[in-house]
Amino acid sequence: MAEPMATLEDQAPPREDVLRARDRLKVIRTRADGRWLRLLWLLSGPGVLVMLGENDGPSMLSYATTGALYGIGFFVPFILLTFLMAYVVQEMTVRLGAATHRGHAELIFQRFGPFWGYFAMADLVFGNLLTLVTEFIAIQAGGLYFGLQPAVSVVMGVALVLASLAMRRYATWERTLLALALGNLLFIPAALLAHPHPKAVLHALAFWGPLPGGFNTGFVMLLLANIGATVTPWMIFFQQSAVVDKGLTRADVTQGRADTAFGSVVAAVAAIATLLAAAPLHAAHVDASQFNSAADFATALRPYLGHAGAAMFALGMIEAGLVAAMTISTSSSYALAETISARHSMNLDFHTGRWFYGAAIVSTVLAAAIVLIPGAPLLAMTLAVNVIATLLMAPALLFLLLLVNDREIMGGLANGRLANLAGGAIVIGIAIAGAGYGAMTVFGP
Amino acid sequence: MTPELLQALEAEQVTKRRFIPYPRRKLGRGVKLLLWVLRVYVVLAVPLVIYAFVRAAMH
Repeated sequence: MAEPMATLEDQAPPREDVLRARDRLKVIRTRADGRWLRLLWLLSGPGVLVMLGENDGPSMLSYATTGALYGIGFFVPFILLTFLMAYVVQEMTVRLGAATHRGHAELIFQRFGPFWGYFAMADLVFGNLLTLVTEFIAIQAGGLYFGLQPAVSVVMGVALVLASLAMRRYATWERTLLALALGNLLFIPAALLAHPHPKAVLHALAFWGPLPGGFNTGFVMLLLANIGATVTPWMIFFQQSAVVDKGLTRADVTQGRADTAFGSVVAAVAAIATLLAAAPLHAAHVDASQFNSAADFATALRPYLGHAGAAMFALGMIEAGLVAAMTISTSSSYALAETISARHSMNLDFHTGRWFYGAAIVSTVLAAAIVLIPGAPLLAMTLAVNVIATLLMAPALLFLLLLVNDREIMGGLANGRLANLAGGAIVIGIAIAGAGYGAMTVFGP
Repeated sequence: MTPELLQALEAEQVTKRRFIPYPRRKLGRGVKLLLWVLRVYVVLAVPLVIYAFVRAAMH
């Protein structure tokens, strides 16, 4: 729990402050020298990580399913649109973090009271636990393609997540995850091996088509699933807390925006590449509607992408699950520790950050254990994840908008009229799409 | 070295300052209404989630 203020004041500067100050000193000196590219490099991270983290196992499966069922057409520009929406939402978290130096969960708790604070934290931690289960399913399925036993893949995944937590240094943790997240780009060579026709891609981008099969329930479900694959509650909590942990200030908002925009573009390219890689299945009339895992897709794609292409596809799925497991478990840590006023930073030692690290370790190990239970209702959990994430997106976005309009804490970084119009429209659209997706999943056939 | 180093942080970034909570926000009628709508939404959404999970688990 929170350490009493008197105790804190008597102590030497906390390790967290010293490490963050070192990072800030580099930023201050680089800015003074006018080295803008280096400055951008130093301040980048949370935006790219959150966007590539959201390109997780289930999301990449969703993009592959889209490519296999609809080919190159409507969904190519639609994916671009969803990442534009993600940018608008996530940009608000950069401003919130830089202006307040508080995480999303603690701001909700402090400004709206314990009821909403505990509600936001509990639904996020529970939703994240189920999402972690789906990430380990993706890791397991990707491993199966390479002949790895499920237990081996899952235990290796857990070991890597725990190793990432052992760094006790935000900057090292962030750069390591960024390097790992580059694996998301494996879908690009896989897509190139599918030899997509450039004219077809350009036509899809220009004319939002073709749309084989037209407007039907399956199309709407996939449409909503693609939105759900791009904007989710954990992203809001994660990026704001990461911005605070990294130490971004009001002066760094421009670089924070650039980081988020760059992350959106890279993640959109990887998502579209996944669609393109799976598009040969559409052309060959392979029924992919019953495919459940990365292994199913990689195996089916082998005749079209070759061994190397299929292997890159499966490896990309493992990476997607792994990076998402690292970022999502960290978002649970931030939210839990912020809500109970415990210390929360990737710069903490294990004793001081026991609640923070404990939340990530427990949720990771628990999710992995659930995946390995024989006969566990994994499909039900995957479905529940989608429903929870989409239904709870509305409250998360509402609080985001309320906080970013709170001039007492935001000052000059509060939303202007134009930002509210754009943000409000996107929030309403995503909330309606989310609720629709949830209802269709629950009441649909 | 450390005191000079810590000057690189803004006052609000120092741990002990970050643990001083913001005061509760004074909510206007509009926001209060929104939060009540949200309460109703949550009351409706939670059973939906439970139903979705149970139904999927049974199939």
